[in-house]
Amino acid sequence: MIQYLPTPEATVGATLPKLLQKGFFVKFTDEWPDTLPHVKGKFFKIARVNEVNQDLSYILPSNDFRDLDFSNQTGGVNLYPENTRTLYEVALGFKKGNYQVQFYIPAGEFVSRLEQAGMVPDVTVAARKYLGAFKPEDSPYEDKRILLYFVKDLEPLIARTFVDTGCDFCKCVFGITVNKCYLEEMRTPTSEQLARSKEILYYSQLRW
Amino acid sequence: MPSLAQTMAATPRVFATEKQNAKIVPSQIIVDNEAGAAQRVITIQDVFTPAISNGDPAPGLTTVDRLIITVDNAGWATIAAEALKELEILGQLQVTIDVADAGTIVTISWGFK
Repeated sequence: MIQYLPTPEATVGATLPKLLQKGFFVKFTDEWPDTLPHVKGKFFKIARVNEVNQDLSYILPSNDFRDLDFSNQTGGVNLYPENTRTLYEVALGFKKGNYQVQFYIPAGEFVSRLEQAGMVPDVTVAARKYLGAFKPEDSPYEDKRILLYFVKDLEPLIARTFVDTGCDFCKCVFGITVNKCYLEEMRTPTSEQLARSKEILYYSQLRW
Repeated sequence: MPSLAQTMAATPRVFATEKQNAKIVPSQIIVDNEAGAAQRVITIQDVFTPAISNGDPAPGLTTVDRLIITVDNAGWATIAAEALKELEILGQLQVTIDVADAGTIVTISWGFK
């Protein structure tokens, strides 16, 4: 449910659109929990899409952070769908600045970590301040490279936005495109449709 | 690209209010003190209220001096884009003068980043 598109070394053949389009197929893996029965293990065709842009910005002091909750719960920025047949594909990019973002889902659980015990992101510890962090140049505002996939009732995704030392304050600007995808379930997809589908992983599969 | 000229008969003078999703980047600053009564000190200020953060749950209005220019009596100062390219205003762009003087004129052009 979180995907990072690295900068391509080369382009071969026809290019594909970055975001899901009408007629595309998506497959949610069986690892999605029973608490999300509307998507767990299911296969869908995208019936229609609608892109909605949003910008969020925060002026934060140096060596400090703010947790940005993408969900619809109190204090969140309300970027989760409310309909069980809607998938939000969210493209996220950043304007330049002296800051970085680390993802947690749910709160307190790191998306990026290494296998050695204790090798988890922590902006208060110098040795792990940059672990698993996305900087603005990793996903520029004009060329968003971080894709997030939200369905109704998914646990809150938290973006810990940390302003590094070396400045007094920093204005952190998030550029967001919400690609609203209306899902049409297909109970018996063909092997060709399965092969062409985009597989959407549950976050537990990313955190192995 | 917006531009505005104001006399410094009062201080501070607001040149641009905050654009929420961008920083203000001055591209040219001209201080005309030819008719000024004395040497003047001009300060380019950045005024904003930071967002709530882990370390500050109740941030207040903050003013940061970004550039200070001293202009001689009957003199001019012009600062062009090359010298200003790293100057970023996070919030409101405003200018102060050490002593209010209707003979001192400040002109600023700016863009957004």
